[in-house]
Amino acid sequence: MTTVSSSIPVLAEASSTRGGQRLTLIRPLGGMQSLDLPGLWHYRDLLWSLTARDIKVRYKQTLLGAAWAVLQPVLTMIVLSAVLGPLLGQAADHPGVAYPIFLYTGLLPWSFFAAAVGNAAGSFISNAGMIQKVYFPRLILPLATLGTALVDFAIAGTVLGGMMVWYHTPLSMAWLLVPLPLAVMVLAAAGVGIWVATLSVTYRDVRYVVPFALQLGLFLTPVILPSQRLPGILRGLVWVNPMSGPVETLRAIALGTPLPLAELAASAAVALLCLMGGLVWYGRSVRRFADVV
Amino acid sequence: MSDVVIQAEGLSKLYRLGAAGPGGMLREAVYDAAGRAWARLRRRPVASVPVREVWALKDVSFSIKSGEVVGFIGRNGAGKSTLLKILSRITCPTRGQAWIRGRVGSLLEVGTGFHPELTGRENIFLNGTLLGMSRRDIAGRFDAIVDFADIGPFLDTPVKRYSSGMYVRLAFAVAAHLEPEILIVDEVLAVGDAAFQKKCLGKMKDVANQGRTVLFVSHNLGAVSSLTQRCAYLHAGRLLTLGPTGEVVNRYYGDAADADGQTLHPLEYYRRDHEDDPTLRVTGLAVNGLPARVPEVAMLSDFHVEITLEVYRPVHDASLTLILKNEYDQKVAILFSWDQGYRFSAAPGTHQVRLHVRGLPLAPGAYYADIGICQSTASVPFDVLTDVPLIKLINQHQVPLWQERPWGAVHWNEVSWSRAA
Repeated sequence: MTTVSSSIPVLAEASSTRGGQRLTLIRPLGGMQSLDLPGLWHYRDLLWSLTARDIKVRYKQTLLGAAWAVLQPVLTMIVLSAVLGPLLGQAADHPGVAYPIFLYTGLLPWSFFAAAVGNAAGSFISNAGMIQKVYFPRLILPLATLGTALVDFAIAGTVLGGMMVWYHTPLSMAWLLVPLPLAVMVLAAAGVGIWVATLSVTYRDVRYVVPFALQLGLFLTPVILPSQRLPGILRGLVWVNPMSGPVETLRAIALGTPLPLAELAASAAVALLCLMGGLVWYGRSVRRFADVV
Repeated sequence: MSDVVIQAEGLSKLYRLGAAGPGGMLREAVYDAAGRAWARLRRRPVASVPVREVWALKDVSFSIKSGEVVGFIGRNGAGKSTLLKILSRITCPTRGQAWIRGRVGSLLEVGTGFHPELTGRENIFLNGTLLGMSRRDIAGRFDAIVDFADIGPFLDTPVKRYSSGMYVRLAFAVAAHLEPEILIVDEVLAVGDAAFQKKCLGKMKDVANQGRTVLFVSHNLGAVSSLTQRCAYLHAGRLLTLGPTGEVVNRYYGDAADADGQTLHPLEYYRRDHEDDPTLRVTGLAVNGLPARVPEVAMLSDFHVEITLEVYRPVHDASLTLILKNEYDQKVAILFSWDQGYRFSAAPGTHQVRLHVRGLPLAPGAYYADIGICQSTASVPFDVLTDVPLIKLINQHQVPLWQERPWGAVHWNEVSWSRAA
């Protein structure tokens, strides 16, 4: 009895290593400790396993296998270009740029975001069995969907290289900055993904809302049209949309136009806020997951 | 003091059931909040939805020293699994706290996270990392795992093509090579054939002999006795005792024998949870007009059961259920009041419901009842009693044959034998 009360105040963290032995404290409430960030690092191989699982399982017993990762965005690009290209003519305020390449530079990051967030929404629910039977940092589940989407993104990205050769788009030094929009893109997908994943545990509605919202998002993000061409009210949304910065910046890098760094910074700030809020909400909800999911 | 590795202090776990349970739809949450705001606006008292609360675990404290092998026994629903889930950090306690010193490996289910489309090899890595091993650890123990599982040629076959035996062997093999400092195992030996169970028990003995701490839940008292030195006995969410396995198992057997001898405890003993329901509760039970006794009744004869209900809030169209179980815990008859079109409605007060059972063709023996009352067939019950000794059916020459003959669950007398012409 007395051992507990006398030894607990010494502990700072939920899981800390003292004298080479892990000490785990189990208590009703957990603020930051339920985030279990040290655990996230300990279980990093699980992140890899789950990502690999999702990729392998998706293409088992399919004829074309990983080619689907390329076919989906490419076919979308072809259809949209065929329909919208004649309407928009010279890719919208980018003189000398063919519409397909303009479109593909937008579709590429957007498809990543849509896949990551769309799959994150179901990530806790579809893995309920694991959540109820094993402890691991649950955050790994939505993060794994991010990993899966990132692999598809990389595969589909190779097509962009081919397109740049085809359309004789020159390579510029701006490519050195490409990690910046990619980082914001991943941050945005993580932020929104953790929100929808956590909300969907309690409110199953989220699983129906997310595909719908992503469909709308395609039009509210400068994927098909440049932000300047969006109607007035919607143009303001560009500044609070965490994906508009990455999309426009990636496009500017590929097409060699001036980089919209202010937009990227705004997106980064929104994505970061979203991620922090998502983590706080997740930390508050996670201890009920096994009972609710 | 220094070699205590698990210290639990007043661990309690409350589950909420019913209308206001967690989960559910966004719409409900919005309606709920709106309704509450409206009520507050009009300065009306906020109506609260009745919530059923169940303490799955109540004030459980104990300490376990390094290298101890401790068994956890108790009836279904005693709180064993909830306790292990809390110690495994799967769920949080509602109250109380515990600390654990050392790396914990918990095995509450064999094959958690196995994906049917993946091969044995892929699942070893997936399941291993899920249990907290690094890919390097798994690679190092890979051959030992495959050896133990004995699945050699099927290593690169999707596990959906495995026989159930192979599947279980592989799953246990991964978990068995986890090598944690503290191993928590819940009833996983119930799967697999006898030879495999023996192998698993052997492996667990090895783990114990290596000086690791093992917490072990099982219904197999033989396994508990042979594996553990100390044993915890849980009943209705409370820890009744934690002591030398022999003594505790004997006490458990004693309690079980009590039930076999059909000693009747106060009704409270059989209540599924110990919370007061705001609507009603069962306060009395009498068979053939004999309260608080387990009457002997001739088999195949009629009997009646009177259920006394204390109603606190008006009830409309509630249904009653009586599940009759034999000594082997088989449900031999389930009597729903709605089958006969009976619905229970009552104003607050004491009421009695009588049910008359005619000619139930059951074999002689002791019978137990689960009794439940709920609003409709699908909702959370107002009150549930489980495993109440109800009646003892005896053969008073209804069947003119020796007493110790074999019986089935049902004794069907409407049979005629004759020589076919």
